[in-house]
Amino acid sequence: MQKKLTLGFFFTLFLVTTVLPIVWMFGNSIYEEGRFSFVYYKDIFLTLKYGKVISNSLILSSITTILSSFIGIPAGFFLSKINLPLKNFFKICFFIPLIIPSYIIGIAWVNLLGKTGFLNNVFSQYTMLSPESVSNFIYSTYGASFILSINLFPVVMLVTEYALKSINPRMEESGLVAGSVFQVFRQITFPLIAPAILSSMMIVFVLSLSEFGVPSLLQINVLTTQIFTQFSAFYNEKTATAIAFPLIVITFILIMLEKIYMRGKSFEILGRTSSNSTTQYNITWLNVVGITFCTLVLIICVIIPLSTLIFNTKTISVYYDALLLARNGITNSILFGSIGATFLTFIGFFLGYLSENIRSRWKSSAAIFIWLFFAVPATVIGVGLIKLCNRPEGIFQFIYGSLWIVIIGYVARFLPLSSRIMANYLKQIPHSMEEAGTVTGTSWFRVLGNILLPLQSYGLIVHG
Amino acid sequence: MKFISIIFTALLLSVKVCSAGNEVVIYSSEDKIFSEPVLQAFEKKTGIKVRAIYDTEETKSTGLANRLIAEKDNPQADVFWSGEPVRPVLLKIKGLTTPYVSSAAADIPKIYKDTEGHWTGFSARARIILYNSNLVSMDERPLSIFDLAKPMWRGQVAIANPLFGTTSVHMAALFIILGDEKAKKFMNDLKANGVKIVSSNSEVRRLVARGEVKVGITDTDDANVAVREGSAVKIVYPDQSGMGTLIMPNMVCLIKNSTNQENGKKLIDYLVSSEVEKSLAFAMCAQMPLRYDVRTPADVLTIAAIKGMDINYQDVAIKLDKIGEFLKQWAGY
Repeated sequence: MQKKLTLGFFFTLFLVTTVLPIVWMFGNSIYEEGRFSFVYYKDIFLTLKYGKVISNSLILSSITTILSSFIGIPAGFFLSKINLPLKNFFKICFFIPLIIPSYIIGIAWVNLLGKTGFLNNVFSQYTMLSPESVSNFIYSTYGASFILSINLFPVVMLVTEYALKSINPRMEESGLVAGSVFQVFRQITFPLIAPAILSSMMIVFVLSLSEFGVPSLLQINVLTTQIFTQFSAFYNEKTATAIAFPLIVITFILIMLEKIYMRGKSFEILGRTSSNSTTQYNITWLNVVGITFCTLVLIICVIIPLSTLIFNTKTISVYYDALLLARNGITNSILFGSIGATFLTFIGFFLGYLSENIRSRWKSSAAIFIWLFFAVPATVIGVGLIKLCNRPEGIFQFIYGSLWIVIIGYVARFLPLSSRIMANYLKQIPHSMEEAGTVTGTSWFRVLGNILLPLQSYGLIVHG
Repeated sequence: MKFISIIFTALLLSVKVCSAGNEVVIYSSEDKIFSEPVLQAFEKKTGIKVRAIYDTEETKSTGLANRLIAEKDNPQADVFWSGEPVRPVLLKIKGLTTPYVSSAAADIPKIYKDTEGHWTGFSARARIILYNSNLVSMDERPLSIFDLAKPMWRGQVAIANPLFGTTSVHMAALFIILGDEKAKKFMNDLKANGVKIVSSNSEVRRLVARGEVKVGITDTDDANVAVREGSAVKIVYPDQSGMGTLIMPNMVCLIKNSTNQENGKKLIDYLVSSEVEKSLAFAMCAQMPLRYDVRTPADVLTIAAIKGMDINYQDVAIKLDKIGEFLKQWAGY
C-alpha cells in the first residue's frame, strides 16, 4: 500500500509537471477555430517541405552520437580500467565541456576554425585544405556535430565508467585466467556493459536532437531552429508545436529499436564484492595507449576551446565586469540548480523504480511513456507551463510569481532523463535483494532506505 | 518520509512570494548590461522596487515578446522596454498594450511616438555598415547598402538572419522604401553575391573585426563595442545621399491590465527622460538621443547629424508580417 501510494504520487507529479504542459500545447495545436483540425500537421507529414529539416536533424544527432561514443567509451574504459596517472585530474577536466554551455564551446571552435582562425591557418599551411573549406566545415551540420560531441561525450564516458565499475570483478578475473585482455573485453566485459552504453548513446542522441544553441549559432536548419523561428519570428505557437511532433516520433522509434535489441538480455551484473574492487589491467602498452588517448581528448575537448576563450578576451577586467554583472545570475543558477537537482534526483529515483522494478505489465509502457517526452524542446514546455500556471487564482499566482515555477521548469524538462538514468542503475540490482528485505516484514520505505539506496548510490552520484 | 517533509518545509519557507507592494515589473529586451544601470537609478531615485526580466542573446531578443503574448490573459509585466521599434507595435496590434502619453516625452519628435500613445520612443541605434579598416581602404568603403550587391564584395559581406531582431526591421523598412519588387531583387542580388547569413548582429561584428569578411551590416551599439575594444573597424552611415540610414529607437509601452499601472507610468516617464537618453549616450552602447539638446560624447553622432530613412514604424511592423515567408525562404529556412 505504502509502495503503491508513493509511486502513484510521484507518477502524478510527473504527469502534472512534464506531461500536462506538453499535452496542452499539442492539444491546442490540433484545435482551430472551435473544431479539431490537423492543418498544422499536414505540411509536416504529407509534403516534403520538412523532409530536409528532419533529415538534417537526424544526421546531426547520429554523427554526434557516434563521435561522442568514439571519445566517451574509451575515455570511460581508461578511467576505470588502467593505472592512469592523474586520474582525478582527467576526470574533473573531462567534466568541463558538459558544464560549459554548448553555445560557448561553439563560439570557441568557430573562432579557431573560421577563415582567420588559428587552427584554420595551421591547416591551410600544412595540409591541402583551403581556408574556405575548413571554415565551411565548421559552419555545416558536420561542424555542429563535432562541437556537440565535445559537449556530450562526458555522458557516454560517465556511464561507461560506472558500468565498468559495477561489474562483478570475479567474472572478468575468471576470464583472465583462460584468455587475453582482448578476449575478456570482447566476450565478457563489453556484452555486460553494452546495454548501459547503448542507453547513454540514446541519451546523447535525444539531447542533440533537441539542441538549439549550436545549430542556431551555425545557422543549421534543423527541427529545433524551425520551432524557434515559428515561435519567435512568426509568433505561431501552433505550427511550432506541430514541428516538435516529429521529435517525439523519432524518440518513439528509437525506444522501439532499443527494446528489440534488449529483448532477453540480462542486466543483473551488480554483485559487488565487499572490497569494492574493480579488475584493473596493468599492461604497459595499454597504459601508454590510455595516457595518449586521454591527453589527446584533454587537449582537443578542453584545453583548446578554453584557451581560445581566454585568449579572445582582451583584458582581465572583462572577467571582473562579467562577474559583477552576473553576480545575481550566478547565485540564482546555483540556488535553483541545486534545488532543482535535488528534486530531480528524488522524483527521478521513484520514477526509475516505477519503470524498472515493479513487476507488472505496465512496467515497460511506463518506461516508454516517461522517456517519450524528453525530446520536446524547452521552448514548447516553457510556453505550455506559462499557459497552465499563469492564472489569476491564488495558488497559480503563488507558483508563477515565485521560484517554484523555475523549479517546475527544470523538473519538467529533465525528469525523463533523470528517471532513465536511475532506471539504468536500478536494472543492475537484482529483484531478489528487495524481495529478501520485504520478506522480513519491514516497511517498503525501510527496504528502500537500507537496501536499494545504498546499492543505488553510484547511480545517485552519477546523476547528481 | 521525514526527509521529504524537511525539504518541502524548507522550500516553502525560503520561497519568495511575490508581493504586490510598491513595485513595478519590467520586461526588457535591451541588453541587460545597458538597461540594468538605468533601472537601478530609477529604483534609487523613486524608492519603487523594480523587478526586471531581461532577454538573452540566444533567444535573439524575441523571447520576452513571446512571453508577453503567452501571458496575455493574466499579464505579469507592467512595462515592456524594447530595444527595437517593431515588437511594441506588434504588441499594440495584438491588443496587449494600453495608451499612455508621457508628459516627459513632450520634447521627443512626433515621428518617434504613437499617435494613440501606445508606445513612445527614446534613445536610438542606427543600421550601419561596419568595415574592416585593415582590409578596406577609405576610398573603397561602401557608402550605400546597394554597393554590397556589387561584384567587388562577393563573399565578403555578413548580415544577421533577417527573420529576427533589428535585421528584420531593416528588411521591412527596405521593402517599404523600395517597393516589394525592387527590395526582393536587391536581396536576391545580395544572396547571389554570396552574402554570409549569421546568427546575430554581434556575430557580424565578430566576423568583420576578425577579418573573416570585409564588411557587414549591423547596429551602432555592436559596432561601437568593436571600435572601443580597439578592433580595426570603421563605421559608415549608409545612403546619406540617397534614402538615408534606418534609425531604430528604443520603445517603451504600458501593458494592458497589469497590476502596477501607476508605477509603470512613473517608470515610463523616467525612461523617456533626457537623463536616460544622456546616460545611454555615454554608455558603451553609445545610443543617439532623439532630443536635439541632449549632450553626447564626441564619438557619438547626434540624430541631427544623420539623414534618417523616412518611415513610419507602424507600417514597418505590418510590412514585416507580410514579408515573413519571403525572408524565411531567403534565409534558407
